[in-house]
Amino acid sequence: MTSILSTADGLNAALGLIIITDLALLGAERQRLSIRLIANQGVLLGLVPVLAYNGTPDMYLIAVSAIFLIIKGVILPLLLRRTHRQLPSQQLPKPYLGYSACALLGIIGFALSLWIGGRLGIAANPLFSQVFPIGMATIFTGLLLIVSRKEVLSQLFGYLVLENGIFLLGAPMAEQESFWLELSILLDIMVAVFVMGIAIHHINRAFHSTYVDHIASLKD
Amino acid sequence: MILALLCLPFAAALASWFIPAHGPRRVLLALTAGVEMLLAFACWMVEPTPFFGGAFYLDAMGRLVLTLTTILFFAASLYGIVYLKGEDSGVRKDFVQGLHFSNAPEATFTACLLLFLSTAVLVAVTRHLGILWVGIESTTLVSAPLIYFHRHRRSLEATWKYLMICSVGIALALVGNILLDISMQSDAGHGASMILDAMLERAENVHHGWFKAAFVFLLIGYGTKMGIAPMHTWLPDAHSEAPSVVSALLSGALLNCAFLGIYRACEISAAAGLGDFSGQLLMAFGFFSMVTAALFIVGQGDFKRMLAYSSVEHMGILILALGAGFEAARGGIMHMAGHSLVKAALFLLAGNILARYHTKSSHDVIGMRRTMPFTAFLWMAGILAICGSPPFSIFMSELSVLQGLLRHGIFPAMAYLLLLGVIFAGMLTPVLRMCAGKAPHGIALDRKEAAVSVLPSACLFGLALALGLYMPEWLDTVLTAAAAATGM
Amino acid sequence: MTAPLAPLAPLVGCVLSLLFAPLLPGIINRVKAWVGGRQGRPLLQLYYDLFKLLKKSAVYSRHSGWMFRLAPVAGLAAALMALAVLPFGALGSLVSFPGDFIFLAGLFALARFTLILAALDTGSAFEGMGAAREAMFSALGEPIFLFCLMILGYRSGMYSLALMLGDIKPVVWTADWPFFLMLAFAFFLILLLENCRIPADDPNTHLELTMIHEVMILDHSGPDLALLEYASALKLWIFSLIIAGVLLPGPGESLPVAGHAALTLLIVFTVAALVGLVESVIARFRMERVPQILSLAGSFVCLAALSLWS
Repeated sequence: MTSILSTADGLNAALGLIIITDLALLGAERQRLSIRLIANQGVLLGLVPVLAYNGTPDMYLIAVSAIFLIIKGVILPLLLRRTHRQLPSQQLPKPYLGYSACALLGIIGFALSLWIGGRLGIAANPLFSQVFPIGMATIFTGLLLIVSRKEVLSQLFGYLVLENGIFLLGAPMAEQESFWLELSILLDIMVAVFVMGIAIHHINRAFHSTYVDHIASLKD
Repeated sequence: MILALLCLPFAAALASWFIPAHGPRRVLLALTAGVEMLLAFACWMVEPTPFFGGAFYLDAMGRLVLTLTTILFFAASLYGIVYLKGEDSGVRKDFVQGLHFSNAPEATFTACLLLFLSTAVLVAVTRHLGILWVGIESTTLVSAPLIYFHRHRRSLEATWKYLMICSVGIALALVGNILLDISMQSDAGHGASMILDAMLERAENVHHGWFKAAFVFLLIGYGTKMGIAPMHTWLPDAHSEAPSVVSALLSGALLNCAFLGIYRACEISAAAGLGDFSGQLLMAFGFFSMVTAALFIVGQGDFKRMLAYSSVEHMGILILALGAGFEAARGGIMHMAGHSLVKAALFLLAGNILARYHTKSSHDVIGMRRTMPFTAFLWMAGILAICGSPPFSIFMSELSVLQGLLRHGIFPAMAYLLLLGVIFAGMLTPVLRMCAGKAPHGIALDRKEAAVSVLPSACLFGLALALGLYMPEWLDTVLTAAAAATGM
Repeated sequence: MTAPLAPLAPLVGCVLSLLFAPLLPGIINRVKAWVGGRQGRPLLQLYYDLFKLLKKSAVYSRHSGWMFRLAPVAGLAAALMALAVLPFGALGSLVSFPGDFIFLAGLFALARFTLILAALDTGSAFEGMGAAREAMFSALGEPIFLFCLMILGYRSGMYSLALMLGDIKPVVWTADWPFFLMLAFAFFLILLLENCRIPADDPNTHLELTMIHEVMILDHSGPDLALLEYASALKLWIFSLIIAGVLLPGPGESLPVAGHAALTLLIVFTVAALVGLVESVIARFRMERVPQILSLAGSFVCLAALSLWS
């Protein structure tokens, strides 16, 4: 780190880039671009624990962060890409909300989470207050993606982004004693993505399509 | 002891994956279920030692859920053996859409059943909120392949909805956990322990704003998994499309696990002195669930969906009871037990009906008392029980919930009674039609029914009946302790 | 810069701008040629073109009226006045008053207004089409441009261009650098749109159907065309200058005013090179997707604004 940029600046930059990837995801039309954006976001998230740490990080922290980074930034995107390849190349259905409208809503979500963060009062952990708006906005982005998109793989993207936001919220809480917990949570999510990928594969085989509109026979 | 409870089904699941022959695998399933149940019973006699710094420890509520889960699993596994025998692995015709489909491999199915048991036990025995979350998320993941046992389009759709909605819901519960942690932190960089005992100790100094946010997230998150309206949309689909064994487990065991999550949140809320806030929220969601269920039960033409909506109703009652104060909470926890037993048995019976009539429409099923008299008798009794008719335990528990509600004034109590009445009428109408009448053409009139297909249900009903007639002292103390922990 | 000459400093800035402005299209073209592996036009091509056009005489259609002749002059006049309020680095501006950024936006609108009218004046179908597109995109772009300037003024607490662009304190800049970076990016996107660069518009295409700006000046010739070309070069220069102002904190102890001016000049040329790079990598958007550039710019301004939230 140079003298101009402190670690706090590094954290700020990472958080800013994360919110920008959120908006880009909301505006992204192509799924390959979305996967790349999710990978980028995963790498940024893997860096956050190191950047958030006060003082020089020890080997243990670096090792654990590396595991997070590899899972979030490499393994999960690879899983997504595998699922994406299995699907036939298809014209994506128009989402319920336009891409630009989604991005606009994402910004409104960011503003809302800033407001909520301000209203709930200052948490004892100052780092958390810093991370909270971005994490909340990322969660909101994920929900928005799930709700607005009409294709199952895109909804899976939304789920991953949602989990990214939660990871971000949890990052300031990371302590050496509780890393096993975060790791098991992450493994759970990985299995979830894996299972959903298999489900998407089956859906594609059974319905010859992955549009949500085609998978809507069950209702009252 | 706890370790044995956790590891036994897990090891059995791994083993069943690799056992090629059907016979030994089915024996293993039943054996594991039986031993697990005995182990759970043993926990009542011998106090299991807590380990992992108190993260694993059986408290009153955990003990109840654990016992219920293992009993249900044992009954379901006995039923399941017969069920699996009847399901050949070949390609068959789907009787709704007329498309051909096959089943998932039986080894996978058995393994997932056992894994489900293992994760449900994990949820019951832990007092660590993080592990609780991991357990509940895992139950979702391992039960998804169970719903997709019949590999046709509708079950696939149900599986997808179940996976997506529940995963998102539980993700929100994770946000709730994080916020809970934040609300407990008194100084920077000192993470609060997520073990319940430590949290209850620090609860007095909790930051109210953050805690309220955390509670809302936990309620929404675990409420999704529990089938609380308006997050219940996955529940009817999953319950109606899954094989009946799985529906029984989902309704009887899985929903209780999610309820446990909300119960834990209530414990902390009570200790933090925010019982009023959480109580009002719980009652609002509870009433809303009951109203939704009542609306959809009346005129419901699919008997498995009807049972599913009845689950939504009962989960609503549970939440309502939890929010309405001590007496109601005690009734509610007893209600959980009664509902699990009766509802699981009903789903097993629904499987019998489905196997005989090949339809899920309650309009097409008639004359059950002639074609399958035992099932018809139990079905009738079960529906009466689930609607809260006197001799069964559900009547007793609904009565004590009513008592608790009367403390909040006459209007909530009246609304509660009215909704129960509507649901009673809505459920009984199709059921009477199903049982009475002549047998339709084309259905075999042989009155033989395999003993193992009705016995599990009969035993579960017997248990529910016994609980209604006689409350042993040890159970009474446990119920009181569990209700007192919510301390309202 | 010695003290007695200080009043002349804004004038120096203006002269520099007037001199170097036609260099920017040359830089863009050279970068594009370099990326494409071609020789490319000379750097000073626009200067040659301007001189050549000035020596010719203008041809007017019988159907066009006085509006057609007014547009080039009005356009250039607006650009010159914009240069007067815009500071060149820390050299300051000739005229400065609170709220002059709205004046700046108004000047652009005036130039556009006359140009659109002139295009309609010719009675050509193509030019009318171009005028319609120009009107639509600028109507979308203007609020965002104004919002950018307003946010910038809000941050510095001063609402005249000379102060909010030329005199950002280094302390302020290091404290809020993400804000300034995002704002610069938004300005860059607006630059692409307002100056009809790829991906919004392609100035080099030879199909009039797909053009916006170039199609409107099809009928102008001779000195009129020279004035229009020069005015559009000046407009590009002005936008680059705004970006340089946002990106470069004001002069401090380590950076004298002259050095600051040189750095400003460097950034302006870099912006032009960047435009060239963007033009070489990105294809032109379909017409209905052009507003997406604006929504991207809008997103970034909003993000910049939200990053000031505390």
